[in-house]
Amino acid sequence: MKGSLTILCCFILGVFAGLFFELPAFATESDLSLWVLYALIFFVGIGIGGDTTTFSVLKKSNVRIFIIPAAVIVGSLAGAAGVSIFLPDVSMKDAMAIGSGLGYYSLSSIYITEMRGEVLGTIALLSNIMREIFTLLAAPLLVAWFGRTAPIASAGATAMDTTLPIITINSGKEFSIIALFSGVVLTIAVPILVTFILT
Amino acid sequence: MVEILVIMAVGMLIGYLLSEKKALFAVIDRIVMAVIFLLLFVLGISVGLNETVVESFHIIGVKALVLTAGAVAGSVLCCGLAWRLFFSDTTEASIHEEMGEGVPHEG
Repeated sequence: MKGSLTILCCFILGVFAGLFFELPAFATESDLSLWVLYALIFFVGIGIGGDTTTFSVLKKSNVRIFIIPAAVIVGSLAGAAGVSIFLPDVSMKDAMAIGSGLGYYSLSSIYITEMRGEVLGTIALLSNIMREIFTLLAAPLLVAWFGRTAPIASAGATAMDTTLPIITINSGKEFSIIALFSGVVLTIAVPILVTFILT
Repeated sequence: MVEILVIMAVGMLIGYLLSEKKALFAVIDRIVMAVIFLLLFVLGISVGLNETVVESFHIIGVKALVLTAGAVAGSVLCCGLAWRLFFSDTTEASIHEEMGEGVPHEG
């Protein structure tokens, strides 16, 4: 929990920095977060590659492993469509498009902004950022209440990069390769799903 | 997205080649946490700088929260159900095997 609170503090500090300080150009260019993400993926990759036991889990899991990302997609779309009943000015179709972002906020918000305009794009951005932050903060609770696959489902596409370390710590190293696999499949699925739902 | 997969594959290859050096991976874990902190800070900056998000946060924020709750709850329940239906027996056994624990089955 200490790590999650530090993460939240870093985010809040960032928001205040963006709101109130004149930041040097390199900090405000959107490319920076992309490069930081690349660095993160690189180091996460080293950690996975060096852990020889994770690969044997993948070998034993076979084709069934596709069931996990498939269940995450079905559950996310059904859940988002279900709660759209409470949001009279968000159609079920738009709600499903936001749900199909699967935590991949940068890509899904750009796609949805282009296809449905600024407001829905911003809702998609916030919703999918919340999904990632919620997973980072609540991973221990998710495991305790809903089992060790719960943070993998909650993480969605981010299970391959930003939330992978948190999932590994809370679900166990055995689940990290399932999380990675699910995250990769869902990351590829996001642009396909968003386009399919909105056209 | 291709570059993300390539970067990860390169990292995994390097990690695989260095897998004998156990002390290195404690350092890697610390680097990963530090980079996550940095990423969340940068994410915060982009939210703080986005005027559309800041000005209408209270309106669209609630909508986003409701949709997030629905999507997260749906995926967690659906995934948990799928795990119970398709995985429970075999993977529990293989995980215990993996951890090197003798599983004393009764009966």
